[in-house]
Amino acid sequence: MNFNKPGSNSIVTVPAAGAWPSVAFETDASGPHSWNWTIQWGSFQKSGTAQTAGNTWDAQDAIANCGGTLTVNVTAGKDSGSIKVKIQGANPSASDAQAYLASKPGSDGFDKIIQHESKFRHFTAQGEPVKSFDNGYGMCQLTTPIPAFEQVWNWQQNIEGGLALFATKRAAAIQYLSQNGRPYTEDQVRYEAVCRWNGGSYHVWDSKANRWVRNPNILCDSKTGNIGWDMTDSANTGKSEAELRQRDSGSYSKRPANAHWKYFGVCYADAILG
Amino acid sequence: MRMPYWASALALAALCAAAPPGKVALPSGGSVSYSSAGSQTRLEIRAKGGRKYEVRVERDATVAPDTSPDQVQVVAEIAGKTLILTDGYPSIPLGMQYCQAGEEQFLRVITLAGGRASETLHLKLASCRDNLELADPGFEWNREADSLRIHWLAGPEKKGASEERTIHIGSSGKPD
Repeated sequence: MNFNKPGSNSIVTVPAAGAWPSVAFETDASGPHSWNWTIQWGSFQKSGTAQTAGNTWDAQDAIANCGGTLTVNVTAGKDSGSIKVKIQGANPSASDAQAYLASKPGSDGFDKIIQHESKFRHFTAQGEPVKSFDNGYGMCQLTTPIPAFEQVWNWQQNIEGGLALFATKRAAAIQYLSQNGRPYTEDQVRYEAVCRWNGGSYHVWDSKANRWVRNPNILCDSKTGNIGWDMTDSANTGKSEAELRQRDSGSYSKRPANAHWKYFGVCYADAILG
Repeated sequence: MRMPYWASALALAALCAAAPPGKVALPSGGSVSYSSAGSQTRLEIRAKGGRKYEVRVERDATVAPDTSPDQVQVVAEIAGKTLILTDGYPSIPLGMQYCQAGEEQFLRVITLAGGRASETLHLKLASCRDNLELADPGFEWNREADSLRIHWLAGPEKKGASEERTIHIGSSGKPD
């Protein structure tokens, strides 16, 4: 049995908009066909079987939101055949991804994190999802919980996975800022949530002014993403950012146990949100 | 007498000021040294009279193996019987710098009995990875009642909800 279409090892690219395309198969046989398919990318795999009355089958629904190598083994009576097709992806534009995020409640600030961390890039030049050294997949570098195949390949589902994590930080930010009936602004929620994404709380309560203020004891190295100093540490007190950077920047690549600098979510939020 | 956590923490900070890294002083005059032992933390307790105890305690998967505690604080001590302390570590970060600046903190009740130390209770107190957060103040040690009240802004029982828990130390030196 031969395949009339597609061509062997042909490449199908999922468009940037993210809707999975038609992947039509047709053989030169006749009668009922049984299509056994497997789509695999790295450790992710999905399989299934489809029955058709004739010699055509569209894999669009079967492989929706997945990519990699699609292998189809087909039988019709005593005839059989096999074919492989590559499914690749195309990156959305940053504005498309931002528009998608903006349509999701509670996403304020998360767009800045994605912009900063992955620049909304979901696929490599080879059309495969980006994968970090620690098995973080896609534009949100999802690691834990281990993402589903669909979250790895569909950038919109990848964003939703990241957003679910961000939602926990945003909820914690609101709970923190609203404690004891204290007033807060949406802007403070954004800073607090982005800070907590990286770690720690951004604001402290100023009881004299009766408002939340940025933690005044943290000085950030403005040339880094999230390195800073606790200025209540006597080794740091009274020193300028430039002095502290000169003293410590040599150890930024590997933090020694006795370092007087730290990673601060406060500095992360400042760097990302300005 | 009820002593707010911040007050006991300040008092202890003063006591601990001269202690070298990896070691905290006990209010009774002894000390606790701490270090990493694989995926565990090794606590060496030296009582005022010179008696030594050693206990190894577990962290969890949010803490990298071989990471020593960033900080150990003594919350309360019932001299010669019980030690309540906290140990904190950097979180293992996830992608996109999630929790890179985060911390994981545990509460331990260490009971000294029969010439040995054993961990008789541990709790996750605060966690970037698990979204646990103490209120401020987070502890209140009631010395007369030998009980510790913990107040979470986001506790371990119900995700994201405030929670209070009281731990009473019985006459055996263990939590009831």
